[in-house]
Amino acid sequence: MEYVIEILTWLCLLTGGFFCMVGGLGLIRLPDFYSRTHAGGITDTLGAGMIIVGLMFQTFVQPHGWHWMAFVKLWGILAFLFFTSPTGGHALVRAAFSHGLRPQLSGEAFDESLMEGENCPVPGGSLSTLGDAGTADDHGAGADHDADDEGGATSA
Amino acid sequence: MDLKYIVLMIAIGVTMVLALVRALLGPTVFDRILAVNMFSTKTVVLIAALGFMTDRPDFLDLALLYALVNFMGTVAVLKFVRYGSFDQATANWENEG
Repeated sequence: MEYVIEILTWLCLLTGGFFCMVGGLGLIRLPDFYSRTHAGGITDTLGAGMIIVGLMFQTFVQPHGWHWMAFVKLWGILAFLFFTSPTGGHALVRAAFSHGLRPQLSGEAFDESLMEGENCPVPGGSLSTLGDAGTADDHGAGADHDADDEGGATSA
Repeated sequence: MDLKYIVLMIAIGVTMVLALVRALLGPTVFDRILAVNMFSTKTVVLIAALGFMTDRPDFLDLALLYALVNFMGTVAVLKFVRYGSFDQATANWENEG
């Protein structure tokens, strides 16, 4: 029985470490912010998740002082990461998009007309009206923060 | 001391170094926030693995607390980037502009 648990632990820890390193490599090498978000999401869910599942297996064979509470705490960490990591990633991408950062499409510019009227994916108005004129240039973000969208379409 | 924890911590350490490189390079502030968020998640896992390696179950409490602080910190920094201060009300999608 202990051998089975040991093998399962090794498998989970190796898979988790592998996906963590792949995500770290992707964070360095991927070309633009929105694709890097994907690399960050891999390490948060699959990498950390597999590692924590491996540690949960290990709670069954620890010698002393490791009763069921360790298992419950690990489960709490896993559940919390599972819910907050996509939420945080969504908030991050949405903040970046409303700040004026646009995804790099291969060769062509982002079609801003996709964000107008019926096509807008955000309920309650166009995302481009959220561009904050005061703080936009302070952080070096949003190179293509065109001034046309700042004043227009606010009343729509 | 167990070999699996050492291998795991080396993998996490490599990932943390890569995340730090992105946090230092990052062209936009959002790249830095993403990298720091990922660094914090790796810290949670590292603390938990350290507790198992040194046979101290208390470390899991620290990892749990760090997971809580991590999410709040990310959202707080995003709000700070958006508004420039912490004391304004939440976003009003209609009347901003």
